[in-house]
Amino acid sequence: MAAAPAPARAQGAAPPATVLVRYGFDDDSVATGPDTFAVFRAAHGRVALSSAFRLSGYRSVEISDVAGNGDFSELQGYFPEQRSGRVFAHFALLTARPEEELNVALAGPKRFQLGKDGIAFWLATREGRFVHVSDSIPKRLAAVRAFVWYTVDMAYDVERGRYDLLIHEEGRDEPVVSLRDQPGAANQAASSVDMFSFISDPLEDVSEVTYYVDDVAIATSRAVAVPPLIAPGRRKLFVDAFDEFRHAEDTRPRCLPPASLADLGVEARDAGAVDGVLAGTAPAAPAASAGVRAAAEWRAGCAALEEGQAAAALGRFDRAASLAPGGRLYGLSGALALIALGSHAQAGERLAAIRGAWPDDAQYAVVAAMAAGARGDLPAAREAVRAAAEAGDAAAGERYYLALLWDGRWREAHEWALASARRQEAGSAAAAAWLERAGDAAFRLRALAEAKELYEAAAAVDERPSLILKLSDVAFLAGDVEAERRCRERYYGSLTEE
Amino acid sequence: MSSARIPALVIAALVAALPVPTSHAQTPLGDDALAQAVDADDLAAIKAAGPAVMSRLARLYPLSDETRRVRIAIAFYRLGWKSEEAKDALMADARTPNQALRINVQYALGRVSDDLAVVDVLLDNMQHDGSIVFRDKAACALAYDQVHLRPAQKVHLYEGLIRAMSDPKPDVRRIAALALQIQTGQDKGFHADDPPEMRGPAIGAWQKWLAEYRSQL
Repeated sequence: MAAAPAPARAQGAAPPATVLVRYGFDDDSVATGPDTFAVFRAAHGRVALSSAFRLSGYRSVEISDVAGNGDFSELQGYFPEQRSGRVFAHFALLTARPEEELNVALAGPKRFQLGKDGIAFWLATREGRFVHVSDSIPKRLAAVRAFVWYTVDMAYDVERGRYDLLIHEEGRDEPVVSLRDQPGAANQAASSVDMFSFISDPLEDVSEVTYYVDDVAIATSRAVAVPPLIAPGRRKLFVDAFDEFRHAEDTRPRCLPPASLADLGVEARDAGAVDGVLAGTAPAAPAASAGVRAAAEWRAGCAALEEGQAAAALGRFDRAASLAPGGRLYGLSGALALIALGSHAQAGERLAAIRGAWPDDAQYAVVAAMAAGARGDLPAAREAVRAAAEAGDAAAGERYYLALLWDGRWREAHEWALASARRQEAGSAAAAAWLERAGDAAFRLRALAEAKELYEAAAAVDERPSLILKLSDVAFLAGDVEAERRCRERYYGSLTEE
Repeated sequence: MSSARIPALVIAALVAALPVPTSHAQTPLGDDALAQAVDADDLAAIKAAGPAVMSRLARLYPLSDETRRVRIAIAFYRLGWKSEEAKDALMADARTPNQALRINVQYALGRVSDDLAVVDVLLDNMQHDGSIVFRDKAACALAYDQVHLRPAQKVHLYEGLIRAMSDPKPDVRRIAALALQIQTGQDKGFHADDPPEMRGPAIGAWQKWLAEYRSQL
């Protein structure tokens, strides 16, 4: 990829120390992916390399849209998340139709919504003028002229959530916009950023814009190591990225559902009342039975656990247990909260104390495996759940597979997954899920042909994005450049000169 | 910028469907076929008829029973094309006691219209409807579905939400504040359950913000 100019500094900003991404769009190889960018073409719209207009080199990216197609065109880019320091964004844009809306944003992990870790910087054109959204208010800036390049430099202070903005018009020395210390898009301090977007109009679908983007660079004032791309468009293989995500999800304690009212210490006559409480459609009345009030506490505890407030969750679960001592799920939920708090010894003690209430029960085994896994004892995690898994419990079976996988016992994981797939109804989604797991284990064993076969068999039943992207990994390792690109571009699109 | 485009990311790809280009070609669809497409929730067929289908759906709406009206409201919501006729048709059911119909009508109204009368009826439902569910869903519609409002029209929406943050009903204060937070990404320190003397300064901060918003129009 040809070098774009380094990001310029806005007034008074510290110099960039690390360039996170830089695109001049002049190289032949502009691979899309989770660590570069994705391309979304609206129906009858266009996102493509173009040599019609360019600020540097010989190409830019053309983005165009048509109104009323229920879709929008977008170039969406990714860079390592920045939670501190100053982030510098530099880009150039030229619009053929200033009266048509376009939008440019820098956002964080909560993506393109206003709020903390959502949109930090938002520049647009509306009715022939630049507009920036600052403090949640669209503020009018300079007029925009057609077929003139504008160079934008923004320096965003992440901790303070404020930015400086400079916009230079081609052929003029003085900036047409020069702003200091502006509140971020939603006026949120410490709002991190990890992606950018060049888009038409994503909401109203009335824009007929055609515009060009060139020389995109994102940098930070901090000296940070940016891992290299190890495959087209990605710094890690899709299989590893999915694994990391699944590991994070699977090790995050969350409530298990009650198998019966008795698990909650609720009597049959309260079934109607407790249904409303658990569904969240009715609060527990002050005069409700202790069982119903306990269930309400448990539900609130589960919500707190989901939100990462484990201490609050533990308090709720303990109150529920006091209200309805017969509700065995409350003790188990308390153990989950202790796991989330990292109180491994206490979690173990609590599990030991309630063991008698859960004879040969798979739910207990799953929590015990989770507790063992959380303290790093993977063999114990495996053993805790093995009997329940072998008895055919689905949740325990999955947990057993994960315990094998995380422990690097890929051959056993592979065999377990294949056996589990055979136990499912042929052609069912459950069978496909197990085939994918078997494919993951085969991939780890570098049995690429088998991994491909398993992923394809799973995709024939349930064509999930994860399967196609993992097939891209298989093709990459097998040296099949065309298949790698084809699979990856199904989700990330392609940026070519059309 | 819409969160609907997150599927590009690896993690979201776990759960998201492949983005499918939308056809813009317009294909003829007879009245019977249109009614069948509505009954079958066949949005692709409805959409293929192009924006002119909105008027036809609006004419079909009052002739339909409540089950089909729910389906038409959902179709309006998903199409998202601005249409005065669609708005007029839906407004007739903006206070219906039929829960499914009311909720879908409330959601669809902002997707087909930028009329301030829509904002007013939703604000009124949010504050004064006898049902907590309808109040809550009206707030949801104000938070998420007013996609055609221009900045000057949004002032009207924000004024109404800020006004509702002084409502005597705590749930109304809460949902109004939440709708405003979703719209702006901020809360300005407002907590619906705080005593009035603590809520006052936060509401003052919102009013100051609204004045600045107005000054930028």
